[in-house]
Amino acid sequence: MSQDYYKFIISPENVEADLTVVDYRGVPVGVYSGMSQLVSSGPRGTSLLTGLTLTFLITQTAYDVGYYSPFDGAVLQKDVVTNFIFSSTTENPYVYNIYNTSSEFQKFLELSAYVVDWGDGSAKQVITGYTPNSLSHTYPTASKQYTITLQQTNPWGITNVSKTITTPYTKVVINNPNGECFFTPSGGNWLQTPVSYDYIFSGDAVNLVEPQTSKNYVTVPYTISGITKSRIQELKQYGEPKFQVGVPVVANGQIWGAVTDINDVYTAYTITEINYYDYNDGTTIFFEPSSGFTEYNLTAVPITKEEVLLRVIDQPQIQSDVFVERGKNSAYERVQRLGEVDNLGDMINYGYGFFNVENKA
Amino acid sequence: MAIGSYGTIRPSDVSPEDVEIIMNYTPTRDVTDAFVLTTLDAQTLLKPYFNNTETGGNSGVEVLGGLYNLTLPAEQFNALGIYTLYLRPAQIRTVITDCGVLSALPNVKGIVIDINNVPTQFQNKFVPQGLVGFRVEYLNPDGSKIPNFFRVVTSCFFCEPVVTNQVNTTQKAIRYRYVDGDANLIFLTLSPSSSPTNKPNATPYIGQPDQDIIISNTFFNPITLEIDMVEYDISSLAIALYGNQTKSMDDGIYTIYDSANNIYRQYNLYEIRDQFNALLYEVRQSRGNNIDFSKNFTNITS
Repeated sequence: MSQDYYKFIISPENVEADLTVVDYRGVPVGVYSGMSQLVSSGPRGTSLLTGLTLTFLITQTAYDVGYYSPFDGAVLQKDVVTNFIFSSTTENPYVYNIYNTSSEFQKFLELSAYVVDWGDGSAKQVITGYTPNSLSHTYPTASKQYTITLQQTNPWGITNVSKTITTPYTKVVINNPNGECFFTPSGGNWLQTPVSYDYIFSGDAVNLVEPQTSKNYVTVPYTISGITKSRIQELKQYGEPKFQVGVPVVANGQIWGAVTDINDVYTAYTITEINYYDYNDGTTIFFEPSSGFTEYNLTAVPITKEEVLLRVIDQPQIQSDVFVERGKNSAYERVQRLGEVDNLGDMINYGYGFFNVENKA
Repeated sequence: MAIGSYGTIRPSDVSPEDVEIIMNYTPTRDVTDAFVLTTLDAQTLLKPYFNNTETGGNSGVEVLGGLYNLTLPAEQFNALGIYTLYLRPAQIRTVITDCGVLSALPNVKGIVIDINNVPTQFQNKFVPQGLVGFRVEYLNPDGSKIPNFFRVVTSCFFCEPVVTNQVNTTQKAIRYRYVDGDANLIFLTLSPSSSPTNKPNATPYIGQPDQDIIISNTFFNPITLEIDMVEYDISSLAIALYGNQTKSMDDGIYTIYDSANNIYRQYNLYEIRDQFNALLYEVRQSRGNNIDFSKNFTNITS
């Protein structure tokens, strides 16, 4: 940020109030006063120069804060990394099965080992398979609660996921089906300290972006209009007449447009819901209702500010001048290109004149 | 290779309400212990120029940009001397209510400000994205300012707290989430707030709860104006040297005129002799306010 400096000198010569005009026998005579008198001769010792003003320039050195980078969503759901589900039946209400639903295909979990603690004092059991394989355990016949814990041992620490079951199984509603998840780091300041993974909690239930966005959209469309190049050729049809009022032209499997009116003054047509008018003097105007930003052309995403992007005003744009020619001499090239053409207008415009279309009356 | 360049200096269109004017007055250059340091009311003294029919734009409504006019109040500018005016962005003094993270994006850190702790005249700035680009400076507990240290606001939105339980303790960890609509809390993300990649646990300092902070806009570059109120300047010398002059032989009144033949100064010229009529002194004595208007240039030369 630069700092500007201005200097002003206020002297009797550049203040009008310093000059008093008196009338001497019909002749106006201008007389200067001393500056020191002027600045202290007002009421209560104030200055007589009540209209003293300065004009100067104020500038701003502006740097772009940059753009907000949308959250890329590159996170792994916590209960995919380490988790299990359990089941039981009313036929065998003391037999519980657990299924290791931890991510089987994550590269960083290749060195992870899993152990199940059934919570009833029995020995911990190594589990090597993943769902749909399961491991079953029979609990003592008693009405009791147990906590099943799946322990994932990693080189960087241990993750425990615990869920509570009740015997005998009676199809009761399972409380807290997500269980609790703790990570115990194997090093660092939090060594041997369990850290909760439960970052989704009841007070944070609405974590979607949409409910947190405003929708102050324009409800009454306004018209966008201007001058453009005629697109009537895109509605040209085979045979005669070339242009038919009210007959839709289909392209790419959808209605492309239609001529709506032909008269002595103009030809009106619609292409992709934009209204065009070709006047007989060669000009074309278009009309299109717009509503500005709407929920249909805005995608709400969480945004963050990356410091590295300060003063970077846009995302990197990759622009390549390389054109890959698929082979001029390919026997199928024209056939392939023709396959990309839906109508006569397309053919005229295709590839900036790739096809040599002769206009014959 | 750059595809283009853009300038970063623009004429400021800052509102006077976002400006603070500090005045320092000293009667002479070498008097340093008798200075007067005070503030002037920018809202009444500083006026932006507006477009008129000659400059284009909406006459009287659209600010011209860059050009401002400052009135020097007669109450303060009442003596000869040196006045230094320091125009700086208005400072909003408030306190950090909390430092936290967003619940949905825990890596996004920021400070939370209770708008009720903001001076009333500045509360209109505390709206979504209203503080982007503002600078945050910090005070020590003893009231001194942390020097050479500031953060820049990169976003601000209304927020509300959400609470999660921490394991093995009854301590609650508050996180924040954005809310639409009015709220009394606003979440400011600052830059820098991310740790360097070579030391991920070195989180940049962004403040702490209950810390006093100063938030100021960056709408314009601070400037200083030095105003010399002087008895004479170089024009005075030009008048004395090159202006018209008359000397009345009858009464010895010596008059100096400016370029428009206004009476600039008037003097009595006389001699002092001893009892033997020997000339001792030739005297030129200012007549002050006792101006003889009959000595106006028009009367004499017509």
